[in-house]
Amino acid sequence: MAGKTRDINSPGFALAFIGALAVILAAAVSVIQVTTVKVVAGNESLRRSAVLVELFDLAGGQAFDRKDAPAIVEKHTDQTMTIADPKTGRKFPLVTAYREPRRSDGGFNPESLIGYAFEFDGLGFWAPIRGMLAVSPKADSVIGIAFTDQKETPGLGGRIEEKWFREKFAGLSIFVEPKAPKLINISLQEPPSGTHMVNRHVDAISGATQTCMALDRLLNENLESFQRAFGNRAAPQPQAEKHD
Amino acid sequence: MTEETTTTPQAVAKPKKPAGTLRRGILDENPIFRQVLGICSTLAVTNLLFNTLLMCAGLIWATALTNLTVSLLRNYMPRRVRMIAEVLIAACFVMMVDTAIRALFPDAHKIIGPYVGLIITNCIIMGRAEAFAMQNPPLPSLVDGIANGVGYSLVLIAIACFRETLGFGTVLGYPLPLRDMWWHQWVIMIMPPGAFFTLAGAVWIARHYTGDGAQKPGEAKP
Repeated sequence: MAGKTRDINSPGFALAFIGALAVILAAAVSVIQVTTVKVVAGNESLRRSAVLVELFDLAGGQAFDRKDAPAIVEKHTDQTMTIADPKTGRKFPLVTAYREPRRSDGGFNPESLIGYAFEFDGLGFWAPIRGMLAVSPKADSVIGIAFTDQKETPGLGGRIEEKWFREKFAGLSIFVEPKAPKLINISLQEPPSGTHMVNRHVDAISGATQTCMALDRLLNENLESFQRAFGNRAAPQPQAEKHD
Repeated sequence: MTEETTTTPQAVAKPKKPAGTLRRGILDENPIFRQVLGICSTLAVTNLLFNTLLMCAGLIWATALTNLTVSLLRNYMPRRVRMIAEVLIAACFVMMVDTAIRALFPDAHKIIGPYVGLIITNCIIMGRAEAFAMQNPPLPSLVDGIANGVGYSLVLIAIACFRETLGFGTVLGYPLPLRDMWWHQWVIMIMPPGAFFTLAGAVWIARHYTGDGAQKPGEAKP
């Protein structure tokens, strides 16, 4: 027994033991990861598709099953266009949404263009906030906003995900106006009437001041970059127009 | 048992029957209100009952299987690397739970994902592996892991029921009857201080009904 104890506690055995244990456990974890990777990717895709259907109301106001979202998105959107901010070089892959479904030749009717959506991200109060913002065809107003990832305080900052708050963004003006200090203003304090900020204002959530300030900052940063990219786009050629 | 092992006298006590081990984990040595272990996650995930249930399931799984694996390997585990080995084993089972929750409950994972990862460093897992599984056969160790996980879960579920009801006016996401007519949000219950107050209340009540755990004259000191 004494000999066995001595062997077990030798540095060589300890190294071999840890090495073997690490390899076996890593293999076990890898098996689980590999078997679920498709499910996880599918979940992400479903979530993104559901967000797009909701943002552009692609289901025509009807309730839809999340499982049907990818098919609806495939029918109504073109995701081939990317624009770049000339100042920072940041690229925005655009989702171009159409009211009418894709034609048999694969194109869309440009008359039914609803708008564009792009992904935004930035640091919230506790952790990064990610989401999608849908804008009108001229990128001068907001169609809708959705959050795909946020870890703000549940019940306070986390309420930015709730529909009543997101609905406040619909119709906001976001065109570049030199007299407007910001593209969007999220604050508890309403801007003075008659100023350029009136149509850009969203009431902040009481008790979630820090999250709202962070959201205000990150949305303005993303929107400014997007507007530069959108204004700089070289005669946008959505897939639809190629087929006309 | 050597001088290197950090255990309480209760933990060192050899189990006679699985039922006794189960009772100790849930009541006599409850990780929350007796050993005061795993408090971080108790405070972090208890504002919604569903998230708490997922967290509890993950912890029961990780504690039970870590205990079982450590017990199976205890006679071959070099003492100088045993802590590393225990963390490796716990990490493996926690990563399995994390992956499963991500695949099966993606929305909940977005909220509790960081805390699930932190189960690896949960004191309950390391505490039970060191105090119990390293000295006991596999079956009692497995039961001990389950018992401590269940003991942790019962306290968390009670706290979560209280916090979600007062903080959100819901239970498992379902609104209370006629909520809009009478319920008013207790914001503090959603915030970390609410968790502190509720936890303190839960410990107080639990100790009142199960004894205060104070040593009686003549009992051995730790």
